[in-house]
Amino acid sequence: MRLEPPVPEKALAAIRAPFLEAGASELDAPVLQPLGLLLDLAGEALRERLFVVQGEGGAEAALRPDFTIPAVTAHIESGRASGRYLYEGRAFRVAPRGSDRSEEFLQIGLEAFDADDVAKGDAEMAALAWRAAAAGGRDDLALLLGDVGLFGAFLDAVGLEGPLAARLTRAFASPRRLWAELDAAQNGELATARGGDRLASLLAGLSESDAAAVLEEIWSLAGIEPVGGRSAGEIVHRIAERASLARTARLSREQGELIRRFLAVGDAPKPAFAAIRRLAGPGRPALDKALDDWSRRLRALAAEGVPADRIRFSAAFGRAFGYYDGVLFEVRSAALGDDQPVAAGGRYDGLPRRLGAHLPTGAVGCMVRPGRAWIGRR
Amino acid sequence: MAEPLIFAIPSKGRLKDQVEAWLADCGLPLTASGGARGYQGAIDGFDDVQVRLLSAADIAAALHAGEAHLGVTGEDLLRELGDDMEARIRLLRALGFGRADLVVAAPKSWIDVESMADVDDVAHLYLARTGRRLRVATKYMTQTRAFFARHGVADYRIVESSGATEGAPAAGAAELVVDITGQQPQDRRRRRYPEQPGAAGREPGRSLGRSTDGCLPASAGYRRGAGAGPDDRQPRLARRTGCSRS
Repeated sequence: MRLEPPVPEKALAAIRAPFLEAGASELDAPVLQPLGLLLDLAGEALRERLFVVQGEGGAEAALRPDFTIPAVTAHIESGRASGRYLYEGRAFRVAPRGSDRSEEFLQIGLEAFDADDVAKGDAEMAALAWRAAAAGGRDDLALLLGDVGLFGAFLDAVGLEGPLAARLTRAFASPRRLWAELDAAQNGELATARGGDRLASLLAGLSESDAAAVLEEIWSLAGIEPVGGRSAGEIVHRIAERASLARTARLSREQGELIRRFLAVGDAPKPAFAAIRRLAGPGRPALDKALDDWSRRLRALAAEGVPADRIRFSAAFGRAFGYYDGVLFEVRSAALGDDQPVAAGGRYDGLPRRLGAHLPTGAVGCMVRPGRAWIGRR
Repeated sequence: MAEPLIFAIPSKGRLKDQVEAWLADCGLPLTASGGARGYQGAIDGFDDVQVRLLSAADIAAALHAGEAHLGVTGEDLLRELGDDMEARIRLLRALGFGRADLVVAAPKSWIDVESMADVDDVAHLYLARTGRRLRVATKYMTQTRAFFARHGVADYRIVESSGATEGAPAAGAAELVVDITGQQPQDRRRRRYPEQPGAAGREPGRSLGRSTDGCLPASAGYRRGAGAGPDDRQPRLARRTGCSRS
């Protein structure tokens, strides 16, 4: 079990200071988090990184891998429409086999829930992450920015819509899958008819309500119980969508090329967004708005003192544990490498609702790992 | 003092009978010895071999821990031990009996699901609609995670099931099941085979496994030479001619 070497109090105070200036209520989060909830939100891939514990006869729990879910939970319980929460404490993640990463480590962070200007909130968090990371003394830091929502807007701009666009957007979190989907779409391999598909193709020819009724009848005749929580209507709808995908879902070579070039964009922000504008061509409202928001973010970052020559935007930057759905960022040290970010954060507006929030609210946050920020570590 | 070779074989069921018959076929009949409960045995003419009868799962664990040097157990159970299994255990030979496939199974009512790509799609739609992930009931957590990851399916979670896994969907505890076949599928299930059964490594036939962690001492007479290379650690039992099962 690898424990992080302690960071001297003076360095810790310097790293903590930007968070204290940002203003927030203190969050005291439980170390034990319900396992089911974590897996439900982040997926099975997270399980490998979790320390799972169980009391006699109790439900399985995990040691908190981070503070995001506790922060959202605390905010929902407060009943307030908006709130900001500051936390400092240990988090726990199983290190990949063969790596020497600490499994128990300190995090300091802030989560903000409000309905304010999204671009402004994103920039504030990214700047906060930068300042806190830089306070550790490293001089080889860079801020990497990404935007999960931009891909969808770009697809819309190149004329992709409906099921195909949805499919590609879904694959964005996993680069390997995304490339596979792109290839398949270009080669017309999506939703090809398969053997045993006769029933599905027959149903696809009916109206959805007729098809659903027929499917239920077939189940009943065959003695099939509809277990698994999917209604006939749902299944029939998916069959119809697949049929339409088979008819329409080809990426033209031009579209495929544009998308690939979009994903390859990785540069200082101004040239990166200029390149994206050029690729998309004229007349695309969703993308225009997204790019305007980015101009505002960049101005805000500059106003907050983040050096322009240390910022980079990458169109393909996504994150595996998928509850981030907007802007993402990481502060990386050249000495530590890409897989040990010093600070990270992003926007996850969709998460509060999934955890039961009734009041609509944006959610954005960041955290820093003092153990990595502190230059005295190496 | 030479350490005996610990050879672990299944303690019950059809597998036990099949392994005993196979050993007899190889000219190495098992004799019972020590322990009224019959958990220990010996092989005529091999005084330095201790045969231990354990459950198939315990055999996998014992090989992994180096407590057994040689064993016969299911490949599915060995693979469940994790990715470092192959650094510690060498699979010598598939014995060709007790074969089963590990499959992903979806409800028969899901007529639109025929491949892992469909599972991926449905998992995502399910998550978007309900805010929760599709649940997969299985006791093969390691292999399930590896298989789903290989197929790029991330929107799911595993609910551990140590018995009667097949009943999980009907009981509302899960939507999918990953389990070994071997019996007739129930009416309400339809078996989904992985897209390439062979390539997915889904053939847990019974195989001979050997722990590579424990080095056999030279003085026990098992090695041809004094070297420490892997070949020198081949136990004679596996190479003996006259073994008609393979």
